[in-house]
Amino acid sequence: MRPARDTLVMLLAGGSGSRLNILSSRRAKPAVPFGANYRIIDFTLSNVMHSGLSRVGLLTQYKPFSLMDHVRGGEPWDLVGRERGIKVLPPYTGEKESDWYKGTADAVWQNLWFMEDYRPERVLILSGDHIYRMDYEAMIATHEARGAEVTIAAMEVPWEETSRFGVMTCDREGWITGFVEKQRDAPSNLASMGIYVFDYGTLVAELEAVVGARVGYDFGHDVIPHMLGRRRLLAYPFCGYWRDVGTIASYVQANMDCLDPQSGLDLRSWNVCTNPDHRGRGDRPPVRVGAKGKIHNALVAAGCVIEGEVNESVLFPGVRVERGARVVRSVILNDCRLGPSCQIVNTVLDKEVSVGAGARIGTGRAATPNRRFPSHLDSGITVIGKQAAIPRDCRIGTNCLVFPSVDLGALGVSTVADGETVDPSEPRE
Amino acid sequence: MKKQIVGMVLAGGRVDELSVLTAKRPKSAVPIWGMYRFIDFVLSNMMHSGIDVVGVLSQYRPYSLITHLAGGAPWDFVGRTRELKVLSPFLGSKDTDWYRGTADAIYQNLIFIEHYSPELVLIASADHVYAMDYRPMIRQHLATGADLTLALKEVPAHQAPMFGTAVLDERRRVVSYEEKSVRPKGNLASLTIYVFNTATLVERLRENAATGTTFQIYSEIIPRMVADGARVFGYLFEGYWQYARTLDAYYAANMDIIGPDPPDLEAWQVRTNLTAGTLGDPTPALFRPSATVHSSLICPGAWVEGTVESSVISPDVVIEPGAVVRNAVVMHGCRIEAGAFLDTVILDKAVTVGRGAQLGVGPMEANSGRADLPTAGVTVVGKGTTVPPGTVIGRNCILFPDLTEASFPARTIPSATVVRP
Repeated sequence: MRPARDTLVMLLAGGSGSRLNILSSRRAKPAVPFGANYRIIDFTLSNVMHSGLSRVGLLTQYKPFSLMDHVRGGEPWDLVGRERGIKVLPPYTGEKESDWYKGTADAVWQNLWFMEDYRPERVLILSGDHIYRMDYEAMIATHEARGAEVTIAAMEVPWEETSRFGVMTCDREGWITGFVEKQRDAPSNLASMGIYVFDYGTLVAELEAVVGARVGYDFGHDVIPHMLGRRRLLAYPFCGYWRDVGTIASYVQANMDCLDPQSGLDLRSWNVCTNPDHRGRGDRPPVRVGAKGKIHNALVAAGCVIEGEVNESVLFPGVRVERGARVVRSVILNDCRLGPSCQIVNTVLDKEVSVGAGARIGTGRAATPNRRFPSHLDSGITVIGKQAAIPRDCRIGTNCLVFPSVDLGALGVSTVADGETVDPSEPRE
Repeated sequence: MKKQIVGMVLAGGRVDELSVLTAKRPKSAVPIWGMYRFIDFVLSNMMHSGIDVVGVLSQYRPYSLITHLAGGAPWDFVGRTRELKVLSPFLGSKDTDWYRGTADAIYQNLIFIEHYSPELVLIASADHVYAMDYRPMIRQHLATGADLTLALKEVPAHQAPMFGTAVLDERRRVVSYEEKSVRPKGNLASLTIYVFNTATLVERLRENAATGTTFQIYSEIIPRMVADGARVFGYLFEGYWQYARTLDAYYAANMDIIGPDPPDLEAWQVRTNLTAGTLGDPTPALFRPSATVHSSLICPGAWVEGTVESSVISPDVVIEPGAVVRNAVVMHGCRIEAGAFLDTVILDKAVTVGRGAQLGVGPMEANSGRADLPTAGVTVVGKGTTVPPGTVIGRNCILFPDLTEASFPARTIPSATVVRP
């Protein structure tokens, strides 16, 4: 057996990640930048590479441009060669109908032709939405050794979070006896990670029976429950670091986890590969720390210039922190300019935001959730959209949202109160 | 295929200039400014100037250079009409010949140039640190109808004897050229960047191959052309340009990047190859809560828990809690263990400094006139050496590569000492 070579990977990268709000308004969730250097999908693609897998179909749908730009031909993950490759599989117009993917299983089913080209022994179905390190080869080996028809990676989650996941019950040998998708009062706290190893014949037959017959379109919701009691479904336990960075708060927390290997997120040993975005320029130079610069507890990418103070923060390439500026517990994306003596606390700045001298963002108590998006922004974090401009001495509170490309100075805004949103397409109250 | 211009990079040369740093690699492959190697600058300049066919002349221990070049991909020299080729010495039909000099190296590889039938050949050394757009120089060369154009830079008079120097007339024509003259007539130094008409180059190299003695462009081809009345012009360059003929100069060039008026690397757009020989990309630099850092350049993959002041830190360096790194050049993969102290040192790659060891201790004084040692106080540690815990080492010392605990004669190494295996 050559488990890795005979396995085809179908990587679902179409998610919109709507709870990430403006961070994913112009890019698919897998393309959201993470950890100073990476995008979320790098973690899955690096797992694929380190597991010795070499054939990947990348299923895209929502705003795929940054994602396709990032993945290119797959060179950073060693997916180029005669026996290796990554193919982008967007939705397409068929003979009968023009169809967007209606769900995860539908996306795979609509690309049956791609899988038929390779006729693999097995298909590994992954999503590009999670931060984790996993050896898929070991999972595939377990699948083979136990004689399963589908193997589902599973981990225990806190009981209060079970309603966000597909949850399974198992017998003592790990065979799955029950599976419910995103329900309250879950029967177990063993959650599906959305990672499936299918025997190829089983996959095709089950997709035909469920998706082909238009019974349902989703793996967790439709296909897996349909197989219960008829097929051999195995749970593959996983107990390492794994995060669905689906919310602003979990996104910031997972970025902070990069600062401390004790968190379980150890970038050094994970050996994550990425496509450094050079945009036709030189490589980013090393980090320059000035005479008055101070850095404690920070992850700082190449091309940053630090003349001010950085604490408990993650800085992406090309960020400039000027004299007297202070950055605390924040995530600052590529090429932001933080002017002299500004203060940025508990904030996410998307790419190329400029902050004027003396501005203060995110300071104060987090008492008021965002009024327009209370479920997205209620932990105190303020989010500033890509290429927004914050004028000097501007005050922006907690749980605030400033939309991409907004120039607050041009709008005459000098204060954004806690919980407020600045969206130029909406009339201000 | 036809190209207007082909680049030839002189990357092979002298073996002994940088002591232990060039023990296993040519100078062109020596790291500088944290994540670069000398050759990155000339290759990036060529790339940004639109030169996309490049021959790299290399004969001294080229392994590390060839690994770094990776076929030219980092500089976009890969494609149907783009190429980077490493031109190593080869066996000819008559004799087996190492390159006898720079002119001979080009002469032996004329076949590479002729394949592209270029009008011009740009020849440049790989040992220099600078950002230069070659296109204005090429335009001047064409506008003046020159046979050869040399890039020149004004240097302080006391430095002029270390260079080839030219005197120009008001139309920038070279009226005299001297190589490393004790009393040069001018202070316009040659930067080892030449634009030749291909026909002139071929003719002069053929002649030199038959009659030469040093087979060097700078000492035979150029003086001869000027003496013959060939159209040799100077192109004046005013930007930052640095070289490193000694360990002291190498250390000083590194310190330039964290000095008061550093070159703007963001503007230079230097490309390098960070991933040669590794499976992954370096992580962003991680600064742990105990880190204190200022006035320094820190590369991706560095892991800082101690104190770093006025230093250049390369990728994948680990600095443990309580360690102090000051005025230091620390190359890839070094490990500075807890409580160690470094002042004014160069650590080549993969050096381990044991717990509590101290390097660069004692008064900053000149060595006792030994030519094989640094004079400006810098202590240099060769690649892969492990400095045992608690060792105290003075200034102007050289520690050879791959030393282990058993190689150290004592726990205290006085200033101006060489430690060999």
